[in-house]
Amino acid sequence: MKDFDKLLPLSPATLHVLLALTGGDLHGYGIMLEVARQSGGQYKIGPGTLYDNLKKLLGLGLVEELPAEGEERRRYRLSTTGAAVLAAETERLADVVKLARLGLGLHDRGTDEVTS
Amino acid sequence: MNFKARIYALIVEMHPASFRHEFGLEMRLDFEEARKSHGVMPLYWDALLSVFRQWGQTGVTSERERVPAAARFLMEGRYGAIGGGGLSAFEFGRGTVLAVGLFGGLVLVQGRAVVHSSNDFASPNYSASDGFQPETARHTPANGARSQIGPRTSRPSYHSGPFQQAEMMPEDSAAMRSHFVRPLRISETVAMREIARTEAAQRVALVAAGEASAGTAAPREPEAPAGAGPSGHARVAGQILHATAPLPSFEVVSIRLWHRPPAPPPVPADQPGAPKPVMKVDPGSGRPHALKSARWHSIIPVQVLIATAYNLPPDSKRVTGGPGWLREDIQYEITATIGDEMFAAMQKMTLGEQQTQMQLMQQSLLADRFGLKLHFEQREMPMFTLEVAKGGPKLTPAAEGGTTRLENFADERGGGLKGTAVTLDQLTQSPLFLGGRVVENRTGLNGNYDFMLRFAGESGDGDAPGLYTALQDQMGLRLVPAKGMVEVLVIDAVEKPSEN
Repeated sequence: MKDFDKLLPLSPATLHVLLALTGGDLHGYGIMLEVARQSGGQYKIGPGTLYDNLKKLLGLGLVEELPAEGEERRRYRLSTTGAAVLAAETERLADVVKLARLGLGLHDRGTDEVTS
Repeated sequence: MNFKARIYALIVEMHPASFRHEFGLEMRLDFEEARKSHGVMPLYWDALLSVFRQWGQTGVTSERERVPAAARFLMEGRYGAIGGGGLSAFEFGRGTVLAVGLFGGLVLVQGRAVVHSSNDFASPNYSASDGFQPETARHTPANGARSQIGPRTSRPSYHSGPFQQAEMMPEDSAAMRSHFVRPLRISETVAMREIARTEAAQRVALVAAGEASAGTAAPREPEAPAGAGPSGHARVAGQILHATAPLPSFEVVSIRLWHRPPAPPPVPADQPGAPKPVMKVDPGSGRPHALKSARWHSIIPVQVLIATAYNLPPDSKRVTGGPGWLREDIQYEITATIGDEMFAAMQKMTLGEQQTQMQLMQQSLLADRFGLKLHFEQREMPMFTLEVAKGGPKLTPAAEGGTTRLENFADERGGGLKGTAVTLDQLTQSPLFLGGRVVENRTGLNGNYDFMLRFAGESGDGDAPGLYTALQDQMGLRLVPAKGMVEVLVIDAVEKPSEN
């Protein structure tokens, strides 16, 4: 986990691209749609942002390009390392959320569901 | 192409060549699909920001690209979110002025670099070691399809990397600039990629069966005489790679003990985001790809690295000896860089030659950093022979000129092995067949065949027959257990490396 510290925190675009790929192998537009879907339409990325990030993620080995199989579109897959980095970022964000809730005096969501 | 798409294509063309070659077509295709869902103006703005970022990263100097990727910070480069509200005309205008200004500045300050952006750095003809080749040499089309597309088609791959930038003679600037100002149509770029893919597929096909051939013609292997074993071929998977000259070396090597990261929690199959089924592929049979980068990165057990470096399947029983830790779950993360001169030379090699060169450098790395000492022996080992079953072969001859291809497949009915224009020698010597165990072709059949061999894998695959039954029923062939003398690799000494 500690090896990934230097890669964290992830930018929102990077986080969303990795998150989109947890659902399966996608081509560029598929990633854009998945990012929009996962954020409820609140966050959208365009091709420029997408491929800026994919270039970086491919270079780091967090995302792999699938071999071309006669398809016109290039497809991408989350690598094992990418999944591990995403997991590390998820843990980090969970701590941030926990601290924010504590600091703001917000109820824990799980408790709310039980008590309300 | 309509007007809006042309504008977008122009913005894409403003990107650095390495980025544009790699992602330009995808950006334009995504634009066509996303313009309704995301809006045209936000996509323009997004692409302009990308121009700004990419030139910021690579436009002034390529040194940045040489920084080890792992050292980069993922916040770097940032991101641009496309909000639902779109952009004002002022914002769009500001972005346009910024991008055009940046581009113009680069033209003035580093004119040659801008010319580079329209060039084909991936082509061997632009390699730093050789300088620039005459126009006629570079642009001579290899076939009719190429000649329709122009100079860019000479590149063997649509990928390019930081080590592929090279010097260019001034007299070519005008031609390159005129090429630069006209964005390629999507149909042209698709055609370019199809050619690149066709070439790559032709090379990859035989590699899957253990070798690669050069050139664009269908890489049929010369047929071996009846009953010929591995000796009837050029080097194939399963034949140990012996160096015949001093070993080439990587320029920079970093080796660290790799710690397995925690796996992310699985998403239940019925939930959104659950992984989709993917093709089942023998884990030891990944097809090699064309060399895209001067950087080699792998997380690998030493035993597998030794097998790979000596051209044996990863789990080969022909790698013997050595200390017990070789068989433990210990993996090393290795990052190695190929020297500029070697990388330039490798750009001119066929995929098979590149693979051999990499293996020789891995042998050198193993000797230098792992203190590997070994020798070779002939040992009697269990093996198989492939023979014609009673009733004769049930094989479909391949069409003339077909490209040889051997691959795993998986569908709703299970999986197996699909061959196109494959010889039985290629089949028996492929790591896809029997996991790389030694199999000798004694069928006496020398043709190229198409087949779809459906059989149950280790997981069962439902009602599919086992490999032995499937071979007999579907191809009229049978596997017979036998014993034979096989060359094995005996490890005399190997050490855990010092990390760096």
